[in-house]
Amino acid sequence: MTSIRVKKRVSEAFALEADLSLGPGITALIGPPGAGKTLLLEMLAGLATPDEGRILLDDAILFDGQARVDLPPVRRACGYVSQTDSLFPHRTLRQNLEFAARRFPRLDRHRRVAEAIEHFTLADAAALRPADAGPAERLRCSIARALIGGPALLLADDAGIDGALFALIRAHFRGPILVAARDLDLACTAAAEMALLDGGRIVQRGVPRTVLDQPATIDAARLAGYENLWQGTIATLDRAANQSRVELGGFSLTVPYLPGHLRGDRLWVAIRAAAVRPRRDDAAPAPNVIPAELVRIAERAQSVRLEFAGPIVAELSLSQFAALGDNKSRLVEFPVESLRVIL
Amino acid sequence: MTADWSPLWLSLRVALMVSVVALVIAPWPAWRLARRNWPVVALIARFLSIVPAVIVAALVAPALTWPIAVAAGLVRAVPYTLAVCHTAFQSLNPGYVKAARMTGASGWRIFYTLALPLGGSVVLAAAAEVFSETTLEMAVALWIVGRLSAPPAGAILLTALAGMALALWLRREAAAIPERQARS
Repeated sequence: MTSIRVKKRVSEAFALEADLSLGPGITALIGPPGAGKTLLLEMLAGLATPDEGRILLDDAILFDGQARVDLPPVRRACGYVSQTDSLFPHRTLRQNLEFAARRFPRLDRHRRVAEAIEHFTLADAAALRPADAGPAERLRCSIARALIGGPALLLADDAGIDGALFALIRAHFRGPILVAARDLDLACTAAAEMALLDGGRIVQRGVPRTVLDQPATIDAARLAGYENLWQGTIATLDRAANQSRVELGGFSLTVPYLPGHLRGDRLWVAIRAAAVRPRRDDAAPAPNVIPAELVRIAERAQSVRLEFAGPIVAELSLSQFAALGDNKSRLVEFPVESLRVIL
Repeated sequence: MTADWSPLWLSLRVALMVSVVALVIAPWPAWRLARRNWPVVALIARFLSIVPAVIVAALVAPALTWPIAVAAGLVRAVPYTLAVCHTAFQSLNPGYVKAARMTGASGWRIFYTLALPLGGSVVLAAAAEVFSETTLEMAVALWIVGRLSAPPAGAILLTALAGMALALWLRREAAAIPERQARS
């Protein structure tokens, strides 16, 4: 088990304060740029020093602020794939691997380099310098270099690793992986756990699907891709009908009953853009349908984004948009089952 | 009457020694400064690098011998080379250094396996500039003490220009490296 509890003040405006434990699988660390993902990974790798805290990897202490333990990077058994291309440009891919393996005895070093080249299918590019190799080969070589020392933990910093590459890594590395990313789809595809990091703090963590479907805080909802977020108050609570009415500044919506809360309590309501349903004026009546003024239509490659006053954002597939016809919606429906109430 | 070429040989000998010594002495402290980010030390180096020390030496020394000229030249050349190397090493992709540290490479090993090969063109350009400027300074200093005639002065000027041209070419080479790295 890997356990991280660290604090580091970077500036007056930003401090990282993270408490996280990693399971044996892939953990995705999701956050916007500047959230502290790279700093957290670098503290684990030993490339940055926390102000205080403790980092344990398989019960070995990597860092302990109180006991003044701070192992150097090479003794931490962490492989690190950086965000930027960090292969040495004046050496070939093979020489990059050899550099990383040079602390091992000669025969062992040759074996490790040969295995890395074979596992990550680098044979054709091994004699090339990074500038002459393709981006995919460079990325595979970066990963192979990070794994060549036989680490106990792999750290990947938003390096553009996709699901297929994770599968390749998993075939040759069974330890825990912490990957910093901005791509929610990647987290769902590859990760067993997800941690949302915002402003230097872990705002939520858990199984990716649970985190995405049930954001616990407004920051978590933002990071989880909820584009529609409104603050409001509870207007009515009806336990018998199992529903509550919330006022959201300009319109009101029906949400499930909110036990343990009172009228006037403040809350946030969130819904994904893809769950908002613009309706034809002649459609059958339904709950949570409100009139809305269409402000802008933005076409995307596979979808159409409708922006209403409110602000309300809806995202439709091309076929759904075509089905709306000319009646481009003065009504918008918010299905109750898609609304998320954040208290 | 044959011209006295000894000022040319003296200038070349002094300039060569100054640039070689500066090349040996300056890069390592420059690397340490770049890694530790001590702007004040870098600023002092920049300031010292603008002192025309050989000319000052010619004005104050009773005789402008080559050891005095070399010592005076180093007063300017070492800080200048250090400042140029400092800038070059600071612009090195920090990802390279982090990757090397992850493999357990020591500071010295990172210096000679990464910093020097990657910043080598700039370091050599600094040495060529030092060579060129020291020959010019020597010419001025020898002219002040009345030992310089026209033919060696012209040869010194040509040598200095050649040094500058080499420095410019090396700097262009150094500037082209990031472009080549970015190509994919």
